[in-house]
Amino acid sequence: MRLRMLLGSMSLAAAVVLSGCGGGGSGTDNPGSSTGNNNGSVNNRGSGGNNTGNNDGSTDNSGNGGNDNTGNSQGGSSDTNQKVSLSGHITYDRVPPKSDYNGLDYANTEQRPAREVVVELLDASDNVLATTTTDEEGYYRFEDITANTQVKVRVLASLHRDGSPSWDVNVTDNTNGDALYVLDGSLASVGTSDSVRDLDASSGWDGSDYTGPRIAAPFAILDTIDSAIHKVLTADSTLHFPPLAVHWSINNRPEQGDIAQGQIGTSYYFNGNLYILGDKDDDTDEYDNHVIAHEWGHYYEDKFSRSDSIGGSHGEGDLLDIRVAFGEGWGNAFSAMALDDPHYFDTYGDKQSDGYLMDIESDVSHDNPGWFSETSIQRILYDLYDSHDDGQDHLSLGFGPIHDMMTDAEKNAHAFTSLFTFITALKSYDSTDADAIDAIVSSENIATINDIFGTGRSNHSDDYPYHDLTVGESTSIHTYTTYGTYNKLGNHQFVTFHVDTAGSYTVTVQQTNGSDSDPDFELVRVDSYNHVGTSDDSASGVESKSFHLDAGDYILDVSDYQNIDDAHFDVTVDAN
Amino acid sequence: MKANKRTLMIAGVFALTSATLHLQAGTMAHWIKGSTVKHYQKPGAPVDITYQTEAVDPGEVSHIDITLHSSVHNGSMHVKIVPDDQLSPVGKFTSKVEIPLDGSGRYPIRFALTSNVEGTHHVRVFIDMGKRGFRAYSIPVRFGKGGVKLKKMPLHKTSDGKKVIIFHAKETIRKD
Repeated sequence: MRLRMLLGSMSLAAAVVLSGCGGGGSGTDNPGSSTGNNNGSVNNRGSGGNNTGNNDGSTDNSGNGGNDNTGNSQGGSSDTNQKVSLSGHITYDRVPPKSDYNGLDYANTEQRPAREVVVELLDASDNVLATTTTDEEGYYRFEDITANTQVKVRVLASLHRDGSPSWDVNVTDNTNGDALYVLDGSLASVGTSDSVRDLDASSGWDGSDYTGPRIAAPFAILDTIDSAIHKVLTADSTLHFPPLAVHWSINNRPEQGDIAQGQIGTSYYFNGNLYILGDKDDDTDEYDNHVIAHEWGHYYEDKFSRSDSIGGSHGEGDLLDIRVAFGEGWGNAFSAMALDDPHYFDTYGDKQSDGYLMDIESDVSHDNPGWFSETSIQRILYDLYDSHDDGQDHLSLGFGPIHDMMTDAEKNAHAFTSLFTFITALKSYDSTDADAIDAIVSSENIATINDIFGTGRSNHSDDYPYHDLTVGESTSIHTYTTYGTYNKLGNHQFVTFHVDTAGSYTVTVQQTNGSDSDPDFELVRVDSYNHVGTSDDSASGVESKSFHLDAGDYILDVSDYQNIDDAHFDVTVDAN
Repeated sequence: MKANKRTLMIAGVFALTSATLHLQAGTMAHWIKGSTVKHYQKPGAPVDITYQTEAVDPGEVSHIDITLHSSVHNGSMHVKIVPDDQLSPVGKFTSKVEIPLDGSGRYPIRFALTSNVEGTHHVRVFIDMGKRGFRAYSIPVRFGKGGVKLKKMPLHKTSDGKKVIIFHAKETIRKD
């Protein structure tokens, strides 16, 4: 159930005492219908131009004399004891995908409420008189405004809530000083009776191209994030979400380079920042809400869980490093959960007229199903979550148990985060569901998962990445590029070992089939999940480094920088 | 110690590299290079791109070398190449091509462009791999001096000094 926002933040000003209330539709305030006398109403519909309006007597908000824009009320009541309210509806243009998801459908643009966004009431000098937030229907309200005050409504591209739960999300332009996007109404007198000001953020589309300011984009992005936040709140209603800076610009292109120049490469999340593509006729993402929710899912992993993914490019059919497979499968599945819609789509191209659809629920005939497949993992995670029984899926866990796993067992896993760690934890959480979980997992050609290392693989058993090592002995591994390079299955091998006694140890990775590789490794202590160190010298065929190690459990992540087809290594950990 | 091989999943800021200056009689040219290899990408087709584009003077010919990288070894990818309006193809140029995925892993595409408009323009490259998804890339091509002309709205400051970009709403005002 959505947490209902009833109160925004409050501030006191000398001339105005306000309470923020987003309870649109309650009481006598129903902006959806005109209950008053509309004679003299002002319609300031603009098309992105200056809407400060021209209230020089030609229109009448109050039934009295006209008001100029300098804050003086000519001929109107100036009783400072008289108070009025100002309320309204904030909306934005949402451009949906076409019915076949092959591009955006501008012809069916609809106005959607701007939910839980920050709304300010400003005076003629742009001082903030009061602040509130819209409710889940996009309504806002300010009370007790001194009659005849010149004010304007400003909507910030910002979700903000203090208290418990709490969040702080702002959409800025990374190519323009990281300035915050805001939506302004006109400066006009509130008159001497309650009034309504509805503001809409338009898409900027003129029927054939973007020719106007794309005002709706930041609010479309926020709306998706609002959905994601509330999905997580269904599992924990008091959660505090760390600040998230969202960067969107019409200059943001799929080009690697300087973020301040819009060269963001792709839509992605990194370290408290979400970057969203926006260059038209390229690959815009502001309306591709699954893309945004996917990347927000990585924010969730970063702030509430743990991800050991090494990133890189990935796609359906890839045989991926198990960490990448889970991380990307999680992002895709989470997007479907957050939006309660398994149709992940991404539009692109000239006039945004092309698109790609990935059905998280029904894409059963994908290439290479297995424990290394993001497509398999997204289906498993979504099937665990959803209420729709299909095939082997007879579970409907909802988000709660998934959140519990991600924020506890997955976060503290003593192995690299993967489907193995997640499923092992889930089955331990409620053993009564274990058979049903196994059935869902097996539908993706994955043998029963019984431990965090996923021992006992049958599908692609030769590609199983974990190897045990006893200190003082050696184990043989090999890295290979059969399925691609950098983040594909086989590129990294994981060697687990246990240290009984704290001391100095030397880790050595020695090639045994030549010397044309360049082995590197990272050492992680998994019982407390600390990154101990990295060894990535340029020496051919060997890598060796000494560390002080405390007693505990460790994993060596071994890879070959040269990416030779098939490099064999002996790995040793010796006490010095 | 070689340069950091553990490429960041996401780089906060990193610059495009250039090759060394190449002098020709009466002209100065250098290459703009870029790559998505090892960089995080949102879900989509399993394909990376590396490229180098020749920075030349307006009116000269810029050679574009693109290589698409994919470990997929069946099916094909449909590639669409769309230069900005300020760019004109020189010589043989195919805007759409279907490339069989033969398992080689590397698929080069070469063409040439020219422009009389000084500045950095772009070539859009769209790769469609069917149910595997798509990728869109934007390749910079520079003629003369000058970078990309960014589209910016004026900045304003709030009463407490914060920078804002002000959009004006479609607004309806009426009595309650």
